[in-house]
Amino acid sequence: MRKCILYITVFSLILSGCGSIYSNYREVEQLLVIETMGFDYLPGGVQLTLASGISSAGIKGPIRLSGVGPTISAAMDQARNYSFEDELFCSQTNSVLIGEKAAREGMEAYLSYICQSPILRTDVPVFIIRGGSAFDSIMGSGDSQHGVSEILKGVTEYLETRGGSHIFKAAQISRDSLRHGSALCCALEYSESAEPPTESSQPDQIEGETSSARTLAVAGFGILKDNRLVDYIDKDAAVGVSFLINNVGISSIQLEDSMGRSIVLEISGGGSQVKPRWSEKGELTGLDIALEAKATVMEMNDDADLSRESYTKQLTQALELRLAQLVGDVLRQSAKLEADFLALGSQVEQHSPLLFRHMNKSFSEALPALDFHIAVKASLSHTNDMKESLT
Amino acid sequence: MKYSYNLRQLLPLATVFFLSPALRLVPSGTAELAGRAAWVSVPLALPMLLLYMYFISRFLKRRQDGEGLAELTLRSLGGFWGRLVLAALGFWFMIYGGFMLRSGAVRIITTIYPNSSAALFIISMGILGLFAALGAERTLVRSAKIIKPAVLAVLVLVLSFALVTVRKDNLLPLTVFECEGCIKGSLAALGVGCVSVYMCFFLNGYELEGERLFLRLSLWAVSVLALLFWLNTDIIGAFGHELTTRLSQPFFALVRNLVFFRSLERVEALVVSLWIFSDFILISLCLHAAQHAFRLVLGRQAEYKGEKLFDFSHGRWVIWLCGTGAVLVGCLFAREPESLELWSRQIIPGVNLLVALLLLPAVYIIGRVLKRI
Repeated sequence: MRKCILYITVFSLILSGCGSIYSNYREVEQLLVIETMGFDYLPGGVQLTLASGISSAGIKGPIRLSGVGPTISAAMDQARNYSFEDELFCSQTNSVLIGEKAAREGMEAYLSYICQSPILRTDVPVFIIRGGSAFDSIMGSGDSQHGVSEILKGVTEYLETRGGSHIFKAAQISRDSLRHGSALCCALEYSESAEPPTESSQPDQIEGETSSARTLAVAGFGILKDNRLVDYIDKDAAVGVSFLINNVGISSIQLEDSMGRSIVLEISGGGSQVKPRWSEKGELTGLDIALEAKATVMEMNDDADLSRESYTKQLTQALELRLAQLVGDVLRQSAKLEADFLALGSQVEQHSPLLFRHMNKSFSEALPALDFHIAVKASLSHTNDMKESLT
Repeated sequence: MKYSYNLRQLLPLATVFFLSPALRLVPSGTAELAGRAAWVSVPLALPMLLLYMYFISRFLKRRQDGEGLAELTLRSLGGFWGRLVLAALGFWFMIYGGFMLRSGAVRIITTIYPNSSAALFIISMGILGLFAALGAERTLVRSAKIIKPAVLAVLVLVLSFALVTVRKDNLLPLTVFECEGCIKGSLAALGVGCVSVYMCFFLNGYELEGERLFLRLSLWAVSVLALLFWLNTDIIGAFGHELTTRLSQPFFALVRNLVFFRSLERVEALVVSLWIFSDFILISLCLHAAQHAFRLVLGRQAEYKGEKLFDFSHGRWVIWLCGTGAVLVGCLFAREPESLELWSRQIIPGVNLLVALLLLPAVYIIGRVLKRI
């Protein structure tokens, strides 16, 4: 009798939470696995756009759907309600896109949703669509062979390995916003693809008409202040950011030598150290930023000769100057916006914790008055090109 | 009296009991009070916890054959006051068990079953706890001994993989200004450690003869605090104290982010399910301790003698009342998030600390002064 009651109780425990599962139990094949999620601002609400991967959707191509509602959950319900799918499985969401307008209105609600949701990971990468909406990006990117999820996988791998950039995830953006009042977020632009459109991607194309496939490309960083997008850092200037946040990836940089000839260097490593300068009264007056960079020569023109020490030295100096310019531009942007999106305040605090604590205003407010001194030490380790040209 | 288990078998019960409130209270609580230095709060609790272990060992040296803390309380304070204090403790343990029913149900709902009702989880777990309370103490102790390695293995695995997510700037720098917050934050770890130990010693079936009680309890305290320190460091190091205070379940958010060998991910449902065992042990122990206290108040022997399930003799009807009371508390208390937060962060830890650091020492002092123990 006792065992019988125990078994009944154990089964009721197992089944007790399953009102949400056994009443809508689905096989794996019946789930639409969502890999990309997008948020756009609408007056009084939000537009949520979802996209599956190619593998989940099958041979027809990625499945994309959208819903609108006063809240994210309401938009999700609408998308689910009005779709053909049995169940939307969002736990595999690998990327979140936020339209530019939504980012300018404020990202706090979206970041909160991601961090509090039991279905999303807090370390999901977040991207801002520069000059566009998440809806257009998700609905229009790719073709029948490549959906937006596949494109974003490629973008993520590109950013992780090279591109001089860094992927900012929801938890990190939230934390930086809470700690520094400002944060960075990767930006993408919705633009024409470098690949010609395939026939299969243009099923409705009228004969004689041409159109191009569209894709998402890396477009630098978005600067967030108080969880709102305020400005951008272009892709070319992203190298400066990577040095200042000590996350230098492989990236290319084009220089001109003394004769005005183009040389392409590949930066392979480096970092920075920030030392604050304090006045006698304990006020922060400036920052000394020491950069170290390692590079290799990727491409050079006819007359360049790396065996000459003077030429190599000149090239190194040009690299140092260029890096100093890039870093200086980013610092000036940070000072102008009074936004510590580079977390320089943390580095100052690490260096001088007691003086930092006694500052009479916040680090962001002190930024515009700071004097930046940048010293760069670069080295060329080797060349991937020939030592001398063929001519 | 024939004892059914010894201290070595009892301490796993304290460890499993410790895990559930530790995960609930310590990361968010210490982050809120100590900020970036929250990870230092836990080691700061060690001196006070060791002092408490010394007090408990001195108190238990006064026990006679077959006595636990409940019997010692009755003997120290005498008939009326002893019964009054035991009745109050019995009510508190029942309420604590009911709160844990609610807290555990909310944890399952927020992490795994977002569309479910808490009541079914509360009632199911309440019934299981009742069955455990109707049985022998040694069954509960042995269950904890079986559950402990599984839960600890999962915890160590998760914390090991989570080390790669720790960032230095989330933990450092530390300044002297964080001291006050750290000391306040250490109370969370201290409270959880104290309640885990004294709840276990409300049972009375353990053999202590020949045990170096203070040494064993001290080693236990060091090991659980070391584990808690590791847990806190991983969570604060991964999320930062600002985000940790805003996450409702920071440990399970950490588990949600983990990827094992680039293949296995999203295992938080399994980890949450494993914590059901810790909840079961905690709730069962609360019911055991509550019914034990109430039966002593009624002048009955609280020892299990192989009675059948529906045998209400020797005051066993009290066990059913305690179980029903705990389920009612779980269903009716803290139904709103703000109320749950208040109970979780302030009322429960506060009262547990009062019992541990004021009531029990007062009982001991009175008993020693009046030469009753």
